Amino acid sequence: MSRGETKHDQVPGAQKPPEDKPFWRPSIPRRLLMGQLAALVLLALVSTWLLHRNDGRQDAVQLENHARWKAELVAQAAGSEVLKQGTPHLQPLLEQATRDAHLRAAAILDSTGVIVAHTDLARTGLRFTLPPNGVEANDDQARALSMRLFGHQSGQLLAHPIAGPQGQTGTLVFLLPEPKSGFIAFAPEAFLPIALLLLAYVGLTQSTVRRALAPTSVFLEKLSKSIQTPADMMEEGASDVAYSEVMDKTVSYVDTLRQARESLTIENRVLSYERKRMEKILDQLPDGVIIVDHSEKISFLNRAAIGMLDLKTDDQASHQASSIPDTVKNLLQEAQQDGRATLTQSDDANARTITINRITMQATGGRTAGTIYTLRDSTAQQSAERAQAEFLSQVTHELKAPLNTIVTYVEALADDGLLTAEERKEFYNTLSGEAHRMGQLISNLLQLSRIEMGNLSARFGFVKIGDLVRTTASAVRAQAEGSGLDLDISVPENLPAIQGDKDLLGVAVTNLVTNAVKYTPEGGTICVRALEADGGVSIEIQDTGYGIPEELHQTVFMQFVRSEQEEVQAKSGSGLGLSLVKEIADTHEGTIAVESAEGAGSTFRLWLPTREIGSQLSVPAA
Amino acid sequence: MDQPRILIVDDDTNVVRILARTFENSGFSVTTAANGELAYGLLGAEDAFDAMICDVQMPRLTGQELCERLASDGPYIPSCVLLVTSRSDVEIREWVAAIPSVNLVEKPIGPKQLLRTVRHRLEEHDSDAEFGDQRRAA
Repeated sequence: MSRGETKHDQVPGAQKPPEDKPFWRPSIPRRLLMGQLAALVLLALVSTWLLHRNDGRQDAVQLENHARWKAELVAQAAGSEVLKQGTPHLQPLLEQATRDAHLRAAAILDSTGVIVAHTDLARTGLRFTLPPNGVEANDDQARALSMRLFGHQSGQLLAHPIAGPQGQTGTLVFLLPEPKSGFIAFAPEAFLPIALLLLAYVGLTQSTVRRALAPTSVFLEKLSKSIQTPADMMEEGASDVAYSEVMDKTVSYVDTLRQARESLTIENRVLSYERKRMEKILDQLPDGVIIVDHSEKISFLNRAAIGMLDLKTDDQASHQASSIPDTVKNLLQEAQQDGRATLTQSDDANARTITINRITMQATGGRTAGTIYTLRDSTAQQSAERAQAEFLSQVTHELKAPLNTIVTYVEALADDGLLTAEERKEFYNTLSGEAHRMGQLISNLLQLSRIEMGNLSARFGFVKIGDLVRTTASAVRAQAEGSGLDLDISVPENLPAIQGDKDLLGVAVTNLVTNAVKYTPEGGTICVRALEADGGVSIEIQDTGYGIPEELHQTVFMQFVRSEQEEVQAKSGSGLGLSLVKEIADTHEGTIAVESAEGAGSTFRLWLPTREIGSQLSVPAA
Repeated sequence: MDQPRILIVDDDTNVVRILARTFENSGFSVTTAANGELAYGLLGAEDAFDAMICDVQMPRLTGQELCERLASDGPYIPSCVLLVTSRSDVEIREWVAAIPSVNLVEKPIGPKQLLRTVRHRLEEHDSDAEFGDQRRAA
C-alpha cells in the first residue's frame, strides 16, 4: 500500500472546515467530467451546424473562381502556344490545366467549332457548335451541351474565349467538379462562436476546479509554510553539519598527512643512517664490493675494491669512482657473463691476482635490481695452492725414491746369480734403511699435518724441558756411538718448565740430534746443551760435521731443501726434518737458528719461552 | 744386431750396479755414470750408445737438463732414452713429448721392467730404420 492511499483512508468527508478538510474530494472529478462532456457535445453540435451551412456554398464559389482563373491562364497559354507551334501542342497544355484546377473535363474548340484538344482524346477532331449566347445562358442548355461535349451533364459548364493576336481564335470549355460531401473549408464567421464557446468551457472548468481545489491549496500553502521552516532549519543544520564534517575530515586528513610526512622524514633519516652504516660495514670488509644498479651504473664501491683496482676517488663522494678504467669495466662485463673473472695485476713490485664473483640482486616480480661484485685478492690463496702442489709433488718424490730403491733391490735379491753374498747382506741393510727413511718421512708428514691443522694449544701442557732434552738425546746415543761419534749431553737439573706439546718438542730435539749424527763424519763430536736464556730455555746441538754453506742458512729450514754437498746427498734424507723443527718452534712462539760454515760443523739453537706454571695445571713428567 | 750399447746414469751407486749387471747378463754392453755431467762427457767421447737410462734427480746436471743439452747442442741423442722419475705431472710429460726418442718412465720400476722396455724400444727403432732403408732403396 502506498503512502497516498494511506492518507485517503484516514481523511473524513469534504464538509469539514478547510483546515480540517482533506486535500482531495472524490466528487470533483465527476463534476469536471460531466462539464467537459457537455461542453464537447455543444461544441460538436455548433461546429457541425456551421460546417453544414458552409458546405456547397462556400466551396462552389471558391472552385469556380479558381477554375476561371486557371482557365484564363490556359486560354492565354493556348493562344500563345497556337501562335508559336500550332494546335497539336494544346492537348498536353489542356491535360496539365485540368489536373491543376481539378476540372472534371475540358476541351478547346477552334473558331470553326472543331475540338482541337480534349481531356477525352477520342473526342478530338469532332465539330461542335457553341450556342451563340454562350454556354451560361441557362442550366438546361448547359447540361445539354455538357452531355454532348463531355458525355455527362452533372457539374457546371463554363467557357472562356482564347484570344489570339488577331482576335478570338477559339474557346476553352470546361466542366467544374461538384463539391464533395464532407468537404470542410474555413468559415471565418464560425470562428467567433466557437471561440466564445471554448472560452466559456475553459472558464467553467477552471472555476469548478479552483473551487474544488481551494481547500487543497490552503492546505498545501499551510503545509508548505509549516514545512519550509523546519526544512530551512534542516538545510541550515545540514549545511552546518556538512561543513563541520568536512572541516573535521579535512583537519583529520591534514593531520594524517603531517604524520605521514614526519614518519617519512624519520624513515628517510633511518634509511640514510642505515645506508651509511652499511657502507661503513662494507668498507671494513677485506673483500672488495662493487654494487651496480639496474641502469648499469656503479652505485657503490668499498675501500677494498678501490684499493684492489687502484681507482681514484674524490673526497666528496668517497664511494663513487671518478673514473673507472676500461680494463675494470671489461672485467666486470666478463664477470657479468661468466659469473666470475680473474684480474692479474703485475707491476715491478709484485703481482696480484684478484678473483671477481658476481651476485645478481633480485627485486620483487623477478626483476633484476642490480649486481653485486665481490673482489678477493687471491694472490695468497693461489700462492698457497702452488705451495701445496709443490709440497705434494715433493712428498711424492720423497716417497717414490726409496720405494724405487726397494723395488730394485728386491728384484736383484730375487735373482740368484746377480749378487754376491756380501752384496746381498749390504742390500738387505740398505732396504732396511730405505724402509726406515720412508717411515721417518711419513712420521714427519703426520707431525706437519697436525701442526697445519692447528688447535695444538688444546694439548699444551707444562713440559720439564731439561728432562725431555736429556731423555731424547740419550735415545740417539747408540746410533751416534755406532757411527763412531762422541755424544756429550749437558743439561742442568733446575731448568724451568715450558708450556708446549711434549711430543712435538721431542720430535724437534730428535730431528736436530739425529741430523747432527747423520752429517758428522766418524770420529766427530756432538754436544747437546740446554740453558736458560732471554726469558726462556735455549737448546743447543753442536757438531763437528760437514757444515752448511752460508747461502743455505736462510733456506735450510724450508721444506725439501737439502745441501748439494756430496756428503749430504750420500745420506738419505726427507728434506722435512729441519722444516718440521721450524714449524714446532713457531708453534711454541720460539725460534730456531743455525751457525755453520762448510767443513766447520754446525750449531743449531732452539729457543723456547718460559711460561708461568698455572696452579690448576699439573706438570707432567717428561 | 751387434751387442747393443747402453749408458746407465744414476747417482745411487747400488742401483747403477744392479742395473748394469741385469743388462750385461742380457747381452748389453753397459757403461755407467754417476751424474748428468759425466754422462754428457761419455756421450761425446765414446762410441755411439743405442740406449740410455737416466735418473732425473741427480747432482750437478739433472736428467732433464742432460736431455735438453743433448737436444740443443749435444753430439747426439741415443735412439732410446728412458727418463726415470717420480714426477707424473703434465708439465714434464709435455716437456718429454717435445724431444724425440725420450720416454718417461715413472718410479717405482724394477730392473726387469726397465730391460723389457729398452728391448722393446730398440726393436721398434730397428724396424722403423729397416722400413726407412727399404723406402730409401725403393
